Amino acid sequence: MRDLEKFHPAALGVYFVCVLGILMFLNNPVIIVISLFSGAFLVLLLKKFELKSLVFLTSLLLLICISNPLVSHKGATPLFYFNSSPITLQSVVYGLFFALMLIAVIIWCKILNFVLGGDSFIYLFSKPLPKTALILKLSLRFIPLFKQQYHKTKNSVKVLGLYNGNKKIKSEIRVINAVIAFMVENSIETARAMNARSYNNKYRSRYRFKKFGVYDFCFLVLTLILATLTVVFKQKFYFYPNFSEVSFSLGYLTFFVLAFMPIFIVLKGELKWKFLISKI
Amino acid sequence: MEILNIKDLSFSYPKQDEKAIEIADFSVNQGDFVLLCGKSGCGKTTLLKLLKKEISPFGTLKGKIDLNTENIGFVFQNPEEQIISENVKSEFAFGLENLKLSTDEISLRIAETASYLGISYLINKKTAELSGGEKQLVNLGAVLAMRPELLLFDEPTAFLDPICAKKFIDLIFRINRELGITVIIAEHSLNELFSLSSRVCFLEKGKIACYDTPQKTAKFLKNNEFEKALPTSARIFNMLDFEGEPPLNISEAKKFIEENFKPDRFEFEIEKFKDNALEVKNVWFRYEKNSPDILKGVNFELKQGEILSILGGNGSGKTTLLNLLSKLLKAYSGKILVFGKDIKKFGGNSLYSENLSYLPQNPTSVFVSQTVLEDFREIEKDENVIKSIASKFGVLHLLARHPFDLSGGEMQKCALIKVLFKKPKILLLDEPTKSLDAVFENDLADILKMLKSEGVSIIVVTHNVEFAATISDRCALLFDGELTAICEKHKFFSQNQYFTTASSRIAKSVFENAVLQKEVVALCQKQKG
Repeated sequence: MRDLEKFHPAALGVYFVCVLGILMFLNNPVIIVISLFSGAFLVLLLKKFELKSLVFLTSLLLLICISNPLVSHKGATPLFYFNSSPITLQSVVYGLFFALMLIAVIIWCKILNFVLGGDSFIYLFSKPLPKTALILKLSLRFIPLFKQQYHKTKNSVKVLGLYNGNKKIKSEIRVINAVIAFMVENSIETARAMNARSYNNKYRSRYRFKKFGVYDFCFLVLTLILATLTVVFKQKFYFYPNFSEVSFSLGYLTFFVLAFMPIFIVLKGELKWKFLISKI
Repeated sequence: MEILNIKDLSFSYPKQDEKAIEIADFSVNQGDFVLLCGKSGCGKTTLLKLLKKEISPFGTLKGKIDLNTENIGFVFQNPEEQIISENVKSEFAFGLENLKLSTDEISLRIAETASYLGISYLINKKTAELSGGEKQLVNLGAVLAMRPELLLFDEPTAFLDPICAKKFIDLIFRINRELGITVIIAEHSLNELFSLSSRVCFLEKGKIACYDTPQKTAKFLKNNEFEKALPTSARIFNMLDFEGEPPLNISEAKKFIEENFKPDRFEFEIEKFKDNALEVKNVWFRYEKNSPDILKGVNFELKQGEILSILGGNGSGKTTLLNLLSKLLKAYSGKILVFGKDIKKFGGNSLYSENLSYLPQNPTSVFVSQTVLEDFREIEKDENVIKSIASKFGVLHLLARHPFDLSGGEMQKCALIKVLFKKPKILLLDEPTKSLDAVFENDLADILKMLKSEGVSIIVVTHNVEFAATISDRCALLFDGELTAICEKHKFFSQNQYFTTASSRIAKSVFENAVLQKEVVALCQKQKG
């Protein structure tokens, strides 16, 4: 699983933009199913599966599946009538696939967050937008600090008997106010520490903690070729009034390869280890 | 060669007539290890900040500061506030990027510095995951990677526990000796630093009162209010009026006592207490279902009007125990009785009104208002009561200030007063001496003794062995989830070899049961006649 993170953030960034873009804009059931399977498989491989999110995603699926046909009555095949309006097969299926697409997007964003989180993400922006990247970097650092101070202050207010369970909102606002004051105070010191380390926003070099190597280049080119082919050979799909036909198209094959590429990479790494261990 | 030379320097903050700094002559040689000391508010921090022009405070500056170097590193007091990045590697890189170094050079410097400091294992971690001690090491590393020739430290160990603090100071000493980097360090706890420094500068109201070798400064400080901050060995010597150089560390002082005094023992009385204020019966606790137990059957009781100190290493569960006693956490097994009533049966805020109060480790979290007065008003409505109590504790002049503008000691004192307005019968304190200087620590000890005489029962959780020995009736050690060896403090500290006061280490071989400095001095004076 280390192998995926080893790639340069720029190459990974392009890859995720391609997959998520195709998934969201083509709105094609085959593409959705492929990305759902590959995404789920990848999450399992990276050992990032959580039971809690499964419950959340299932309830999301049910909610959209039920609510879409109740609101949208388009479609040629009525299944039954509810409150004298038709519930159509097309709108049930559309709801299902829309929900599946949302779930696939959530899963892929989770992978994105894991593979390209925090500093690598900011690193992507540090060349075109150095100041924005620095601000983003400072704010990311502030989130855990804020959380920590929030808990401390809330506990202190509680043991002073000033946290009123009946006026929860008022009590919370007071805690959050105090934490914000603390954070402002804190940031003055941080600014001072930045100055003490000769910070000057005009002249800085940029530390490239990852180098763009041959593998990154190949990964990037392959991604771009596959994504372009998928878009060029796409098959349009309509849900309303009747489902359009699904036949084999080159676009599906290229997207399949694109979506399963990280899995090959991760699996290759794992197999390599198995092989190495058996040799040792 | 001189690296720093100050001539006729004076500095005052805007809108203040009084000069914050007034120094006629001050120079530091290359490779020196200079300790800056003095009461809080004596101008230590101001002087240090004036030496680093990027962070110099605003105000009127007269005179000359000659610096022989451009590369000055500065390490601040609070490890949290000076961290800029989300992870350790970029934290190191930040300063180096400012120096416009190439990626290869940056990688090399990070690798080199981290290995030298022995913190390579931290390099891929997130800064939020580090402990306070580790954070301060990262700050030092990030500064050191910029290859300074002069290192300035502003009370760098104030937020660390004694074990981390000692490690940190040893490291600074090593950097000074092995790399020849000049060090100027302001500190309030002088125990470790005093004998390590090549010169000690004692500031009083912005003026240099003494700038000399540690031995001579120790003699100079005799009968000064700041004498309390001196290492125990030098203080005992000073109090006995001997001629010659004072010993600056334990082994020298031990030799001094053994040579001059005959064996004796200290007789102590054990105070009798009657009723229980708090009973803890077989309490077990863990944070999550699958996490290991933090507390494994803790048993003890706190008597009414007693001060109990709980000592223990980092992560031994001391703070967790206090959170359980103040109902912020729930034990999964066992019972806690407050004045005989189960803690679970205290509904709403009834536990916290006139029963039990808890002052957490970080006093910033206690303040939620714009001024100290407003914060006090939250609990005590009567302004006259506030004023009378504030003057009793000597904080009347702080009432109009913003809580975050107070110094560490002042903030701790105000936080304690705010808690005391609840008129607690049981008071729980978590590391109350952290970031306090010797003078404030003394004040705090007096306040706690006064509360005790008013019948308040107190539990103090602390790393500070000396403080525990001064104030407690009984002491206990929390180790491996259990409270071991709860006993009277003289018994507790005289039976311990490592976990004991400096006085006990010094005098153990000659005087039995003497654990406090005043007890050792009393026994010595008896023999001297």
